[in-house]
Amino acid sequence: MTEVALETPRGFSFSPWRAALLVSLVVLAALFLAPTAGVVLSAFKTTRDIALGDLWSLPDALYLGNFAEVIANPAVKTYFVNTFLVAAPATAASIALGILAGWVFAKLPFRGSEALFLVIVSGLFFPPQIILIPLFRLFNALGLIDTLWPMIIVHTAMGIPICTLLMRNFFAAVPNALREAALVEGVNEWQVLTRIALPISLPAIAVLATLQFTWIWNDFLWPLIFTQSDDVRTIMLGIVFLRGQYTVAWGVQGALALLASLPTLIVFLFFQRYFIRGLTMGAVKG
Amino acid sequence: MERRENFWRIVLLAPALIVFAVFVVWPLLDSFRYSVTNWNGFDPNYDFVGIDNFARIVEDPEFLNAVVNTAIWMVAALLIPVLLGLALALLLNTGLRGSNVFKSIFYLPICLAAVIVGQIWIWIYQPDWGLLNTAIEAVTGVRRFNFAWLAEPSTALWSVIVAWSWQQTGLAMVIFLAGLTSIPRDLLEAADIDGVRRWKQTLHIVLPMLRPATVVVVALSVINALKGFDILYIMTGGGPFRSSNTLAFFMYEESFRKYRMGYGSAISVVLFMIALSVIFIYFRQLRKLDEVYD
Amino acid sequence: MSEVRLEAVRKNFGSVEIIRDVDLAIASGEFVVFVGPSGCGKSTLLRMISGLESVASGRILIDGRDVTRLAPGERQVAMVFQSYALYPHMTAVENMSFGLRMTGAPRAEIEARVAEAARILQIEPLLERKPKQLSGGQRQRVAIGRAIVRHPKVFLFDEPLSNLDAALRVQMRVEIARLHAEIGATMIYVTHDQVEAMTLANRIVVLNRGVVEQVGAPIDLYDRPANRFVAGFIGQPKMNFLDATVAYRRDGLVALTLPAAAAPLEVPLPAPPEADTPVTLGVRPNALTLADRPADLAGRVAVVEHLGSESIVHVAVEGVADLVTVVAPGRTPLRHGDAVALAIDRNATHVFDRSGRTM
Repeated sequence: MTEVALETPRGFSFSPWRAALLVSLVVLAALFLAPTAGVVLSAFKTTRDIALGDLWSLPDALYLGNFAEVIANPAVKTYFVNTFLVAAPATAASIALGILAGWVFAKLPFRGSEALFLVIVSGLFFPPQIILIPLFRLFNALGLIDTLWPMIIVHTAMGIPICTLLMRNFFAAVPNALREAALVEGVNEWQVLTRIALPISLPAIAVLATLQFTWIWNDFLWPLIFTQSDDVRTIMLGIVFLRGQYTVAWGVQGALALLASLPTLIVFLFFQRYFIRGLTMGAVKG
Repeated sequence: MERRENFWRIVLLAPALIVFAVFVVWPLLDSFRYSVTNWNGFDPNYDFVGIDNFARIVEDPEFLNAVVNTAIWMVAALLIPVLLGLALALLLNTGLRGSNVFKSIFYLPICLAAVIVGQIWIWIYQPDWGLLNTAIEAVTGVRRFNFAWLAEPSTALWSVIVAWSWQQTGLAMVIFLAGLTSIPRDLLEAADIDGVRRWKQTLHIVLPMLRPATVVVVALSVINALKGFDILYIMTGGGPFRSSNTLAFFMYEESFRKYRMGYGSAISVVLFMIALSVIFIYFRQLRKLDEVYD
Repeated sequence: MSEVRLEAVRKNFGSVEIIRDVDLAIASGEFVVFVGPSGCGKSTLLRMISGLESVASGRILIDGRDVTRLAPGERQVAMVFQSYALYPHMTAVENMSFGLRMTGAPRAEIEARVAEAARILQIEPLLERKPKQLSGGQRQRVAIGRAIVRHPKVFLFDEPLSNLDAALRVQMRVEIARLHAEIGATMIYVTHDQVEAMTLANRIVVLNRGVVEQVGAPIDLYDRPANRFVAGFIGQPKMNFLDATVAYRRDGLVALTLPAAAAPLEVPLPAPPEADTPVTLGVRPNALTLADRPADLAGRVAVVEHLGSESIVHVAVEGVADLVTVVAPGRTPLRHGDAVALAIDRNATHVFDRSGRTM
């Protein structure tokens, strides 16, 4: 249904309408692409060139000095490692919890499960500011401030709504007869979930993994609240922090921004085919 | 058999529920507690002050300023990414060759961190060599246009909103596209056979059937505007002179810069209440749509 | 191979009683078919036997063992679903062996059983394929194979042929009959298609709104339906029902006045009711003949259906609301609008009282 609507346009072959469409799209696309293009360009130019007003022209030679400087900075390495140490476990944990909970809501509903599900899903919507202070106090009391733990834990907890939502929606689309057939065969619930439901839900999990990893990698607020010293900073916090060090080193900042976006971009490109399909499953159904 | 199912219900649901309850629900309730104290974040002793914080809030000009700015942002969120995203989705759903390339271009900003988006737009708004001023110079022929978009109180907030919209529009577009592809083709083909003009089809068939998607997009945009923090932090820090201060940032400032955590909690409660109303309206809209469509 | 007993089984959904007090005894090796209109509870009853639905009150016993509170996996039953319910990411072999593998059966045993089932169902060349590479009929065979390998005490079939096209359905019907002949296991089969019921069953259980209307061999249900419902459900085309009143009675017969008939119709009846009792006369379409001389009923032809070997003629008879259906051998020259007379075979009639019971 999707493909048909896109591949066979229903109508005008060539008309002024179509031309106007194309033109406006191209203009918009250019406008949308410009900012990113600017960053990419700046990363490959010397700061001097940029300051002289030369940012928006294509460089004759790709200057790699900015990247060299960024990579050589030991703090940057620390930031990257920290962010990965937070994002990977939190992604895995929240997805795992979402799979378990999603299965119950999809296949083992009970009185009040709909309401409970809504409560969990609504967690997607409310502003994190409401729990900033109590969480700060909690982790402070546990002596975990300035470690990676609060970020891992909070991202896992805050990831539960979206993971549960997407997995539940996906599992709901798995025919009940599959589960029933397995149960009659003497298979238990855990085996049904892990041997039957999980293997066929890999696309949804791929989407979820992308979403979660991206979201956690890009996060700024929780690291801001829970870290103070440089050796536990994450990359986004690091970028803001390094602005002081690289104030007018625009080229370096550009390189840093590019490198910081690389992991999530790689993950996105890798799972791209599943991405929009996965969003369809969850988003429109609310 | 029922007993066995209950066993699995508990075993499978407990982990997620426990983590969610301990690290999300309980802190949420705890926040309400702090909002009626004068805690400063360090002192183990603090006093119950009743609704003092809330009374102060209502009279605080800073707060009112933040509310106005937040409201502006939410209204902009209601309009800009929604309308632009819808327009893009409609344009890209016509089967144009290369529409996937276009989609990726519009979707790309979503993958970037808010911090990086802020970074990018700081450069665009750069007074001396930023894209915006350079473009204005090129278009109007003025030789040196050095307007400091982020440093002027009159334009700071809107500059942030534009940057934010650049990112949010892609998400709106994707959701609308998903909604568009779920409209059965036969409906439109029947209209074709009946001789209904294409733009009328869009108006009378497509748009009404996009109601569910629209509800989602509006809710997400408004809530994201309400939550907006990272991008504001890096671009303006709430300034200049608080001209771009919003409730989310105001709360952070009071709590973690001025150490007035009781007061900060009260602000977060207000923020939460606003979010709650939006969520409530959203779920109500969803229920109404369910009645029509199912 | 074992017997199945249902004792006073009930089920409700909220305040609605879906299954009302069902008692049933199925002998070991029997092929029993649950049949009835949509919503009669036949699938629910089957699922209750399988353990997928709970029982409100009553007992279910398999091979003398009370399984009422046992989980589906503990009842040693196997089920074949209407949608086949094959695991899409596994090959046919993996599908068939899944249950045994998960419950820890020894590898050699699993392989032997799978080979045996594959041989019986003739699906040996398909074993390495995944469900999406199989046709509907092949998928159904793999589903049946999955049931066979478990060597269950009872086979449960939930409308297994409903998703197949007509030709395939007939073919698979024969396959299932052959399967039962070869394995000889106890089989409980649910269908809404009374032709499947008639051809496959040793005994048929006719259900209507959660109640068992009649249990018996197909021919018994055909010749001696217990009530109007069973009479109308079993037999294609459907039996004709004519309102009548008792004119008079004599030993062993009753005379009925039909609004459409000229004179009272005398039909044999062991215990005829008294005069003026309102009754319903049931006559199967093949118990009516088209006569050229005035006979019991008169009317005009409404529709003629030519099936080649026989013709089905629908006649509008005076005083009768519904069309009367007649099956005539060969090709009939009758056409829409023709006047026609119908003769009733007195010995092939059924008389029902006001409440629908056969008299």
